[in-house]
Amino acid sequence: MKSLNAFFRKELIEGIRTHKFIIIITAIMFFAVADPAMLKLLPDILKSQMEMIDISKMKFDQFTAMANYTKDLFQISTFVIILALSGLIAGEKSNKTLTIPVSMGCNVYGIIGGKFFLYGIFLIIASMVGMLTAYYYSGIIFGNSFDIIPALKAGALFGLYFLFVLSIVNFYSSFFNKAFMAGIMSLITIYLMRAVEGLVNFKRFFPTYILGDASAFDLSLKSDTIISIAVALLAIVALNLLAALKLKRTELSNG
Amino acid sequence: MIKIENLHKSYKGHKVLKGLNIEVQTGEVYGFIGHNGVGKSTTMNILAGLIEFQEGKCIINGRDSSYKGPKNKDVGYLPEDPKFYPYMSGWEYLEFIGRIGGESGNIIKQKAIRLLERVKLEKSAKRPIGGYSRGMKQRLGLAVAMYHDPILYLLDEPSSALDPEGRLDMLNIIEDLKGQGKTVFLSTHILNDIERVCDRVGIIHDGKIVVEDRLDSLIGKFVQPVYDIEFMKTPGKDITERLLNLDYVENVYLQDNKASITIKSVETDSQKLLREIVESGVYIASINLRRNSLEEIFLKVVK
Repeated sequence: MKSLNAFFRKELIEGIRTHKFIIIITAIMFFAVADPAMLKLLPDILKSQMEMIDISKMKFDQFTAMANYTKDLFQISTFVIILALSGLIAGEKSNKTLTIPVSMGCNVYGIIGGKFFLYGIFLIIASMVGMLTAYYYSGIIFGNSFDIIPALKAGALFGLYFLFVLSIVNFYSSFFNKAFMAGIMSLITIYLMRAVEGLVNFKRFFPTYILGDASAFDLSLKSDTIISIAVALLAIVALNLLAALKLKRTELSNG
Repeated sequence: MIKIENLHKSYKGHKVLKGLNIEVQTGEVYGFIGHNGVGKSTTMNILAGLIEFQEGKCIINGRDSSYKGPKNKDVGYLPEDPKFYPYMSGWEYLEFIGRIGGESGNIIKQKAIRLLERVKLEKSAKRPIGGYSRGMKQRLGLAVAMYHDPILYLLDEPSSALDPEGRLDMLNIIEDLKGQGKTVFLSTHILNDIERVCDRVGIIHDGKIVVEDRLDSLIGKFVQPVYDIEFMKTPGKDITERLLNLDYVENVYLQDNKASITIKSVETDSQKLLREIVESGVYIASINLRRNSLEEIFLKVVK
């Protein structure tokens, strides 16, 4: 717990001073505001640019705006989050900054735990705030087409998905010394997982499957989603444990 | 305090340590000398519990250094090039180290003030470490090593990046630690530092200790049998021939009023040589038995 507490505080300082928090929150909040606004402007844009297009069949409501937001959260925000956090462990290894803490008795589970809890809490909060912002803003523009609870559910499911993304990053970051490599591998894994998920029958066993339910904006939680949540939780624990074990086996010397 | 027995360490097939044996007593300052890449930092990292080894034993204060459980606070390690988080200040880094040890804010504050003063970083304590010079980082590294007041210090090239004043401060701190009965395992290229603070010296070469002795005894062992003599007036060349005819004189080098005379044995031939010179009728201004510096001993041993 001592090491976890020390690294939690250290990561808090690092996140503020290296602007990681600002980068991540911007990547999440930008689309919460931009997507409803873009959807509102879209009919006018289409009318002026392409008169041949029949926009009467298109939907311009809160649900569509929120669905667009969840797509951007997956496609673009995930990309930014992964690149911002890919050096969490890889950077420490390549810069040899763990030599002194480890020689002072810091344990690797605390290191991984401190990083995971700080960014995990931050990502859950950012996800909830982003979803609520998108809900209220799209409600102002289009009027509410569904209750706030599905938006909260979507925020929580996206928060869980971001925890899984963070765990994937921790895992690869403990295996590679270069943050770039950890980032690329994490991106490939996440995007491939979402792409393959639609092609197989056992998609409920993919942690990314929860995004489908998050984008449905309904009150119910499907049984397949519950399985997917359980798999995501297991994967989060396993990936972080593997990251810690890998770090434990890594020679963190300075020479 | 430290007992290293038959230590072997390889990196991807390249053997760095090939049966290293070292024993350091409690309260001793042990100088660890060797060329670059000979395994000094590897030994330090093993002692600090940061890397593993293939064969042998490494016991620190009765405990195996390969022990992976919670570490106690009896070892303070200063790496050769200590790396810190550049966005943190020196003060924040010491706070971070204190948190790792589970200490409360008040204790951390008291320790940080004392240590930053001790290493003369109090004025830069609130500045980001990224703006520190390498010497300042080394001072901060020493403050970190001293944080838990350990009984054993592992100092890897502690003064390599310091200016002369900083070096002097570092040596004073090591002397203070010695005065407090701490054990110091010191690796350095600056042999003058070793001569000043170390009780014993070990020279590592080709992955093994080739010479290990008390510093005074080592210098005694490696005394060269050469007398440097300065005469009042330039002597005639006949003195060179006269000395060379003596069976215990191996070489005579005379230039102006100075001569360097090599004899076979300092213990048995010194008296005879001095008597011979006095009897030759020349007047001596000064006479000096040439002593090897640690640097010369080191070069001789690893040649």
